[in-house]
Amino acid sequence: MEDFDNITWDRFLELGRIVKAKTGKALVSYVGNEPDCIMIMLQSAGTWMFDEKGKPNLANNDVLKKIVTIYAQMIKEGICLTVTDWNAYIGSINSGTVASAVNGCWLVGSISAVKEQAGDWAIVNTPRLSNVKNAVNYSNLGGSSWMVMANSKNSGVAMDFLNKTFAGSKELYNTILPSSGAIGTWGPAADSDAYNKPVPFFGNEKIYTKIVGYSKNIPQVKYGVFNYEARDAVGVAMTKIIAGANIDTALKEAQKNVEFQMGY
Amino acid sequence: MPPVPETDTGVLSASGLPDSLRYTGNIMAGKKTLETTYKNAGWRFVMPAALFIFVLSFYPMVQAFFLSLQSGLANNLHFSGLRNYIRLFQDEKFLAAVRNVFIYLVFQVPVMLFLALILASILNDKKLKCKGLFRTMVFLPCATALVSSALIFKSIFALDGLANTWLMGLGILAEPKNWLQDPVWARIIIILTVTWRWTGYNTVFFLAGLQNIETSVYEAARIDGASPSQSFFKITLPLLKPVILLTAIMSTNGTLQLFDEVQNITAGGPGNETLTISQYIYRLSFVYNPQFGYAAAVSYTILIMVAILAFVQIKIGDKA
Amino acid sequence: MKTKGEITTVSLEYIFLVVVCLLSVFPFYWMLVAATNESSEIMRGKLTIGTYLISNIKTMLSTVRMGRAFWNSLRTTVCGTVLSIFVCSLAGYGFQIYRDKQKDMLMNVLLLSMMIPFASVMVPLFKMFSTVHLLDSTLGFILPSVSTAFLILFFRQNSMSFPLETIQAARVDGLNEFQIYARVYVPIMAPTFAAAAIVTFMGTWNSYMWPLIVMQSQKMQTLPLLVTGLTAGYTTDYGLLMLCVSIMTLPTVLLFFTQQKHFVEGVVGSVK
Repeated sequence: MEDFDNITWDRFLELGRIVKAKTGKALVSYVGNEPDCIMIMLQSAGTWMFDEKGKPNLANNDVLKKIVTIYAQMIKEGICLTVTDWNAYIGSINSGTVASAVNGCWLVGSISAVKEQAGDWAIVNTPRLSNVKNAVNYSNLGGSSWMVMANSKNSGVAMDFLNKTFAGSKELYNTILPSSGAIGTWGPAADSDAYNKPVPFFGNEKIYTKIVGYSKNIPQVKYGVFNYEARDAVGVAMTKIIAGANIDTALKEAQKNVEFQMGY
Repeated sequence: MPPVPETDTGVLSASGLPDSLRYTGNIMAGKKTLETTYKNAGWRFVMPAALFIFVLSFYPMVQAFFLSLQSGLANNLHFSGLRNYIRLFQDEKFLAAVRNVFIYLVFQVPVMLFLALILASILNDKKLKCKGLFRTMVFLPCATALVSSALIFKSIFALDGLANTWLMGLGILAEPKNWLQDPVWARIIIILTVTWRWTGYNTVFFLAGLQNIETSVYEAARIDGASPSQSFFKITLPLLKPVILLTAIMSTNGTLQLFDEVQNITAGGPGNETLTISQYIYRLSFVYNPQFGYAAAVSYTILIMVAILAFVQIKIGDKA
Repeated sequence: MKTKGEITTVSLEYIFLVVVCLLSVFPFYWMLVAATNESSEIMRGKLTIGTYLISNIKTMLSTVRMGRAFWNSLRTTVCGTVLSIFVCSLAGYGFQIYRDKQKDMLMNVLLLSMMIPFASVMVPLFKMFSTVHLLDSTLGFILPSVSTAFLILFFRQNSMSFPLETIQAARVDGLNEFQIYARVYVPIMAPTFAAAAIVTFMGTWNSYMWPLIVMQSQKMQTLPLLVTGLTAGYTTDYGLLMLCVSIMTLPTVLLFFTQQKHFVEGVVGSVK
């Protein structure tokens, strides 16, 4: 496991080649049209699909270009497997078709579903981009957020509620972790008992402590209102690139697409 | 004094009798009352259904038109005239969806109708054994929900699905093929699913049409020395024209609005390669930031295409 | 004595028919067999009947509200079908028996509604039903599809062969117009009604998009909504899924099996 901790994506690919040569299996999988991996890599580099002003930043985004190149390489060499949909994705992990998964911590629930694999899994941090300044081994993907609408009727009451529960109650996090597998990003939650328990499935490691520790290092990015449209455009661009299209052209088209959606 | 019918003018005519009792006037006046009664009854029969359609189909359609003249996100809509319609031509996703739908149209509809025609001809053969059984099996796919057939075909063509297992077992494939991630094969599989689902339906229509053709017509042709294929092309096809037209228009309509199968098998992917117009409308309304005005404009393009194609098909039908 | 050519043609016909039937039926076979197997076995391509049926049934009974969804589907479909047949047969009868120029014009206008894509009207309909508080209800489910130009046309075409003398005779007997419809027309046109009922039942039972929009709560879900919901979780239990799909498909298949003669008769009548 130490081989995979704190590594770069280049090293990840190297290890992937070894795994492929020895076992014939891919190291990781993703859903075909979803740019999950790219999102993970983007945030780990502290950038996003939109710039600070909220304009789409796809066509001239050097970081994105490097990311896309790495991802396409992984798929070309068979280190990364693309599957049709979410069920196939989980299936590939559960049935051992792929050796690892790089995703949000909420995947723990699905991975743990296969009892026979208990003890075979461990948690490490995300690979980082080697040729990008400020890139780290930490990122974020998905999860849920609570938002209080500024012009709602009882926003004060709502905020107070959230402050006392999700932003203030260790007991809440202590309860929902074992009962629902809900991992929170609230710092103090890490002190609670449930978070400090060793987890047998992962070789008796205290994975939750680890995860909360990681979360302190995640770079913050602004998603923007048109996040979903941009995600979609990047996904389409990725599909074209894998099929052989020029990276610059595909990203330019993606940018045009997002600008179109935003130009209502 | 017998009661005077309402249609009397109330004036006695020259013969001294009220209108209702004069010979020529009598029958006409009586008939008019009955006619009116029947006419009113006729309208009463027809009104409920017509009202439903006006309120629940035409009215929302008009509302959708006004919606299509507005732009904005969610409920923040403002009037923008024809801007949405002009934007359509620069929309890469929309153009891709139109291209996909026409590919489906051109390949799926003729193949399916041709298949249905052949099946109906075979099933119409009087000497065929187990006709009922065959007919049931051919129609069976139509009893499935669209989502069921989509799920079944998706599972069969999944990476670890039946198709790959078989083809590898037979030695045709060396490693599992990612059918649904390949643009061409994904479309083929969708066409396959839709054809599987709807051929039986069209077969029943053709069968019904064939059964309306009297066998004496074929007898006469046979006596005249016509071969089976000649009688098929010169007798059967022309007589089936109305049914062929009906099924062609219905199938075109259905394919232009294709949604369920594509949504459940490939969700539009890979990229935009299998996306349909209906799917794009769904995404514009419920997946992306909702742009209901633009979505309404896109939906009107379907209407326009359906109308144009129906018109073209009718005209071709008239000429043929 | 059959000629060689005839024998070849007939054999080809049978072979073609058999192949088509196998292709038609195979997915059903796969669905039923999958319901008896365990999920991972299905994924690996098992095609034989397994021993997991009882287990899948147990899972279904404990995790899926199948009974409730089945009742929702049954209730909405039966109500919708009855109402639809009633309204559209009245109209079809009216358009044909009381035929005149204005009615023909109205019919042509109504036919235009067949071209309306559902995608156009779904949002306005949603807003409309939301305003009158008909969301999440049986009535909300059935209203948009109660009257369809297709069904009206179906009844009108089939009524073309209905003898007008019978109607005259009934009038002489003193029946009013509606009584003629109810006591004379309906019994004689039974095959047409049967065909219409089958088509409408199947369409309503399997409908997906409008129910998806109008049925908001889980307790009003119909079978198609329930079944697609089963694929939205993290993992799909294919055995369970196919068991539920089988149960969902069974009524429509049975209906067609038992009523197919009437169905074909009805369609024959409409195509004349």
